Amino acid sequence: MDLMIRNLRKQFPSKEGEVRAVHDVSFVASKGSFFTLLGPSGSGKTTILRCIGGLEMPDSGEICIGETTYFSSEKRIALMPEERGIGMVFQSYAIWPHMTVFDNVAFPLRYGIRRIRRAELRPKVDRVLELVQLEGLATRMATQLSGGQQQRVALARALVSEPSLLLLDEPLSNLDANLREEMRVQIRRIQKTLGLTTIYVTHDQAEALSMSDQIALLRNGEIVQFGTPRELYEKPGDVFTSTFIGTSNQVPGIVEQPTTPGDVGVVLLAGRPLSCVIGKGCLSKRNVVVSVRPEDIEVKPGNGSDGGSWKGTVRQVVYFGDSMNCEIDFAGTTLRARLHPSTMLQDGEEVTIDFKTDRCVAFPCEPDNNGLLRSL
Amino acid sequence: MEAIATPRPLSARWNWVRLRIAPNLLFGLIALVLLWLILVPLGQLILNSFRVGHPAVPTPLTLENYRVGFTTPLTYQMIWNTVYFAGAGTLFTVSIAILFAWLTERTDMPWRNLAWSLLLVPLAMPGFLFAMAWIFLLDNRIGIANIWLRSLLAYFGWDMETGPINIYSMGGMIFLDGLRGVTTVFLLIVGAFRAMDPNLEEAARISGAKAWTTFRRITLPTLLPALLAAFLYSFISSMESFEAPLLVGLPGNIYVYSTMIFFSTRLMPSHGLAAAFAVSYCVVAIFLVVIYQRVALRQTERFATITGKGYRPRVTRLGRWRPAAFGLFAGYFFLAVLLPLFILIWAALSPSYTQPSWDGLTKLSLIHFRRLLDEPGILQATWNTVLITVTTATLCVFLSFFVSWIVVRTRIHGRMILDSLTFLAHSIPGIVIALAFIFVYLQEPFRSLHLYGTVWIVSLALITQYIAFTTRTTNAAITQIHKELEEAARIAGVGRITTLLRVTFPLVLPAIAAAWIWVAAHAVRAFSVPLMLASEGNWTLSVILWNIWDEQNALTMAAALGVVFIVSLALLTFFGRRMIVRAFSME
Repeated sequence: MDLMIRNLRKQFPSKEGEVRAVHDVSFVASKGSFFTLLGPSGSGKTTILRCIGGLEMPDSGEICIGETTYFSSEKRIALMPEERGIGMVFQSYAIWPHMTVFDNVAFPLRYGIRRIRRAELRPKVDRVLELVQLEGLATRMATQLSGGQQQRVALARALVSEPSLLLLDEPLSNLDANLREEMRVQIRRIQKTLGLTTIYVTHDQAEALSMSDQIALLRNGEIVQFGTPRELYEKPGDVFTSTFIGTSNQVPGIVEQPTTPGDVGVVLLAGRPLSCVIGKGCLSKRNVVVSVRPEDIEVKPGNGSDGGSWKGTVRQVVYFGDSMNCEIDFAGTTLRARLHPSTMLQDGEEVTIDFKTDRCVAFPCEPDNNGLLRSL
Repeated sequence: MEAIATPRPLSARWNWVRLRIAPNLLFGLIALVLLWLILVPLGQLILNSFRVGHPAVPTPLTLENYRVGFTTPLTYQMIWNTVYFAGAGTLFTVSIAILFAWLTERTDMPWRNLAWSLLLVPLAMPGFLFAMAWIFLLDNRIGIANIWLRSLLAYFGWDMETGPINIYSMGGMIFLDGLRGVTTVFLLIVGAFRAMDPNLEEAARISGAKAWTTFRRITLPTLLPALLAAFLYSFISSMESFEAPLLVGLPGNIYVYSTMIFFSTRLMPSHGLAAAFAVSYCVVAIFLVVIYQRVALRQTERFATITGKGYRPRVTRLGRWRPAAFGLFAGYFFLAVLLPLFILIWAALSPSYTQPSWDGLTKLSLIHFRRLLDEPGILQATWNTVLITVTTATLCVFLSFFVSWIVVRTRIHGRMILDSLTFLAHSIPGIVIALAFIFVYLQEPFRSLHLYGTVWIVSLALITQYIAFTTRTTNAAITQIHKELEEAARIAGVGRITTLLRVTFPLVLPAIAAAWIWVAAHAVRAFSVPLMLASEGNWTLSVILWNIWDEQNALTMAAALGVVFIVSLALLTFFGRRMIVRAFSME
């Protein structure tokens, strides 16, 4: 069932008056999709999730799933969390420490509004424990488990009552890097197997890119951009998106040949034309910033006497084994480039630089953007 | 995947109302109970301080009580006594507690665990039994210690009829109260000693400071907030102290606030005058408690920055003083427990009171214990005590659980009122609460509840006295439970009440049990409140004990009842010791 959110608003009282946590957020997460709310802390992503779960009462708006209205300020409907029939995994996992793994997972079926007969309980819990690969740990106390196992108990508990919607609130943030990698794959596998509509909250862009069907990028309680991972990474709508998702260099330039936003035009970069995607609001001959991904920069030793490319000086080289980061002084800014480790460069060396055609994006150089740039 | 069950059909409007209103209803109910328990008595107290005559027959308002009360020189003597008693007692208590905390935490004293246990045992000894025992020891005439001292002095040709030590004096009161206070103050400050970062001191030593300079310039200032809090706490509880001033202060004609209030209702009797005293007393008490809370709060903030590492601070080597250090604990235990206990048992077993001797040993009998059974009303009093203890402890933790849940978990406007109300209750001494309850239940509208003279009025007054403590305990407990644990249950399809029962309650159960035991341990030996509210039919064991001691003047029989008391308390303490340590460490 599709999840539909319309004009959701939520403010919190604070010492300096009301703070708006969610401001006029609307989106649709289609049935069976993995939908991610991505944003820095304080962007309102968790508040939206908690509103969907019924843990917060929105000030206004509407939350529907399929034919069921969870919340509507207009119709004055607000279902209690327990009446919504959803599953949720909390950031802290919220595993009840006074119960065994089995009791934790069986809890919704025992005491929830979708409780089932005793005889059906065990096979059902066993099945879901198998699904999250925890078979054999049912009788352990929940506190005796490792972080990764606790996480899977939380997932099993969320899934056991066959919810119509699964909410995940930064579930991987407390795990170490290796485990996180593994759990990403597992969660995605389970979600696909069950065809479960899933709303995922995270501040980790790598998680969002690798797991999601759709991403909504949030800032200050508003959706900044909405799209597939590829759209967000390759066609960021503004500087914020381009720096929050992945890393990017900001290079000043001047628009030479404007086009309709989103198409490829030409920008003068340090006096040389570069063909790149033109963002919204870039006017002819105006200053812009061009967002360049580190992996879209090619660097070659030598000062390229042919004069056909940009020049720069290597400031510092950091060798990672599988790649190499190179900081280059270029046209008054510092470029960060990700190079193949076989490249041989030395600090202070003169280099020629090339940008991959059509992969860079130009944004209007507004005071607002400059301020943002500085703050980033 | 099958479709989920559709939610129960509900009218949209009712749905909305229920979500918004239900927590407010609970809040309103709890707020009403607290107002009734705390604010109504306080209001009645203030109102009746402007009335004369019997509390059951309200008169027009007058300033007479304040005029009489504060034009008598005796009143100023009493105020000075209170300040002197509390001040000197605090110095005495805190000095010993600091020494003990330092010895257990910062030196290589042997048998530290045993020393801890020796310090905790005195908690089980009720204050009035402690005072009684020391009267047996240090009474002018019959006190054993005095008799021994006299014979010792006679050997040097120094004959006296009475003394040389007079327990019925300010010194006696300070000694009794100060000695008993040590354990609680020790528990208050020992954490600060333990948590102190040894690097702070080591840095001073590396900088070239000597051990004593380091202690004075580094250790002491670091500990100062904790010590200040301990000072204030000790001062406040000495001010409220009732048992020692009653048992040894009155025979020596030394009045303090608590005994003055008690006797204004008994001897004169003028409840209005007592109320006038009580009001002035409360103003000071509330002021002190406000300061205490500030200091204690600052202290906990500081604590947050210096705890959490698993180190054991650098210890001072005591060398050949190690046994002597432990000897101090043994000495304290001897004075605070062994000696009083021995003398009480001895007195209880002696047919008529004689000094302990080999000769007397052969005459010991259980006759007083048998006579106790014939004492009219003793069975009733036992039953009353059990009833009061159980209902007080149960209702108290039940109420505070809901108060804390509202304060910590909801965002209801005005929820902090509940917190302030319990805080107010914390500032009012038991004797004042009892006095206020007399007014409330002798006058309309609450007179019609017919609570006056029943065990329930005692229980309600005790709940009022202890609610602040239990609420602090449950506040801490609920704060420690991650909100998401409850939310997970709601998401799992479970209603609010089931969530409370199945998730919240089991998780706070250890804290609630500790609070229950704390209240029970206090209620069972409560003295001032049952005594103030005593009338036929609601006597507790402590009231009977006072009656036997004071009116019948049957000292040995009182000792026998005291022994019964101690034995049952010791059993209770033994079975709940882990909880008790936890509960008292929270004070």
